[in-house]
Amino acid sequence: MINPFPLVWAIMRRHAVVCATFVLLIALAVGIGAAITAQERALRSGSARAADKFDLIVGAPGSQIDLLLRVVFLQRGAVELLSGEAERKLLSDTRAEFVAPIGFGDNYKGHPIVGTIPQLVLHLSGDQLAEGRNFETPFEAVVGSGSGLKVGETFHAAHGAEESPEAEGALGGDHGHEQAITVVGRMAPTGTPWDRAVLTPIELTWMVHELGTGHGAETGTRIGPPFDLATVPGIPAAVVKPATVAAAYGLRSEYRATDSTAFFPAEVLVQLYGLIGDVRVVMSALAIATEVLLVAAILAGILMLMRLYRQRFAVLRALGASRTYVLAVAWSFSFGLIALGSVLGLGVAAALVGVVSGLFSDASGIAMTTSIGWPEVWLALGLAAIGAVLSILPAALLYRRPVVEALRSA
Amino acid sequence: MLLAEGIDLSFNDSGGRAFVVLDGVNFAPEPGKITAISGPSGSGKSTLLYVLAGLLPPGSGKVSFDGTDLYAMSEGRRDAWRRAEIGFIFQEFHLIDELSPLANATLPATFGPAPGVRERATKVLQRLGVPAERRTIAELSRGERQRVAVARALAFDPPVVLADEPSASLDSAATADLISILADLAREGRTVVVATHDPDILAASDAVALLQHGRLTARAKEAAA
Repeated sequence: MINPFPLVWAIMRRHAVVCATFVLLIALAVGIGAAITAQERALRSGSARAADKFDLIVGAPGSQIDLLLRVVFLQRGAVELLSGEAERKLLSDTRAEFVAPIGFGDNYKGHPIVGTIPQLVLHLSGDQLAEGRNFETPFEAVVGSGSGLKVGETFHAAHGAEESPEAEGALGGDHGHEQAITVVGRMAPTGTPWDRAVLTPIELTWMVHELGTGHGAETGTRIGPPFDLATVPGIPAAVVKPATVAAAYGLRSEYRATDSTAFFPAEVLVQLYGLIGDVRVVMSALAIATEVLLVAAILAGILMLMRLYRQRFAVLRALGASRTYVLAVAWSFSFGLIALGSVLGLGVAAALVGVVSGLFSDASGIAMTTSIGWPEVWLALGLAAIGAVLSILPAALLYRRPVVEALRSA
Repeated sequence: MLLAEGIDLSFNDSGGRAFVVLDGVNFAPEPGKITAISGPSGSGKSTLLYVLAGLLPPGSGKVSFDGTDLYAMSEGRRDAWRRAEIGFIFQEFHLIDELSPLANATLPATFGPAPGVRERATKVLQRLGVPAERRTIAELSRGERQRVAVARALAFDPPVVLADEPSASLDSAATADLISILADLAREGRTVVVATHDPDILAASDAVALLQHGRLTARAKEAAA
């Protein structure tokens, strides 16, 4: 039985630097191609998980994507206020388990402060806080697991969505609020941008911006619904937890009107995924084309390398090696490099995705589970298969080479 | 027994003109003897070896081994025949530097089924005095490398050994050593054919044939020497 591997291994050792370069190039090409698909998948699953707890979002008419980015992913940006009539109707709608007004505008050391109601805090935290209790008065806060604040600490909110150098210590001035806020609870990790947020009663948001309390003439410590519909200030959006599936569709339909919009986050994400998917398809196609071209170029290099061995192959033929043996050596050598590069490429992809996901998670707060899955394995296998076919070319050229002609030059 | 009868072979030069390399060559080297093929450079000595080894079909004539026409076989069968029956030694040894002497000597075992090759190669290397402790070909002298090449040619214990200018890149001491080895191979009953114009090998040969202008003629030993 033919055993080409001792000779293949000898050739690889002889040209170790060249072979290592070929393998590295293939590994990088496969790694980048595989990383694109793995990263896109991680982005999809991470963003879907982040939006999972937000059943229905109602806001002012306009871009649902903007609203999704603002409410679910806590991205900075201006959002119109919901009309008074739509807000009053929504806050009193009995088809929802809760309607959680969302208020933005302040931060603590760059962490967004989100005004809302206790029910949403509990809902996002999985019906149980990791530490402490829910807020019960306007000047209490529950923090996300990654906010850096601890239960029992007090802080002052700063104006705006971004940290200002003067904000710290500029209480009551142009950049900060005078009221001290006490952290009374910490949410369980959610893997969403809300982990970095500081959640306070919506009443605090209204009060510090001198919009009232949302409870009429009451100035006490009352928080949460029901609100006084006659005096409740405007809100940019509300997160609604419908009581039933039927109610969810009814609410979505009803608030898709001229003065409001309503959507399930998943349906907007699907639009975004479609866009991302299109980009991914184009990038993957380019990556695959690049990989194939690279493999072809490398095979041309291997052919040049193999030409150095044509005399030795002729000698082996004179010693009794068959053409098939020569074919097997040349093919195994080429395919061995491509297969090794493809396998290592999966490792490169895992490393790339890990680094990129880490950077993205740090920037966005979206926890991303990265893994190399079957699509990436198939990509590597596909390239190896193409390499297996293309490797026949240099092998066939050596296979066909006349022995005596090569021996004469020996 | 290896036998060539009425071998004609011609090539076209770069201008497309045919020139005769072998012209009605009859050749029957005897087992147990060293038969040298002598002649000027370019006279076709190597070409005749290739024809005898089943590597180059003649234009006409017949090459047979124990009565079987080599060029009537399929290429695959001829490869297998050559592996079993022919040992080839070259001027340049064409060893694989990255392999050990033993791995080089047993390389033909990777071509196909090869029972007992490793044991045989080990014994041959010991007999030829190739230092077993040397790990790579690069550590060997040229004479030692040629001995590894001889061991490789003997991997399948072939009855015929063909050597193409085997001493051309050896010094006189290594050449004397090689002649001794070739004589041993002949004494074992092998047919040893050497294409050479090395006077020492010609002197040590049992028979010398002169190849000139495509024709092979027997030559007196004394004249050859």
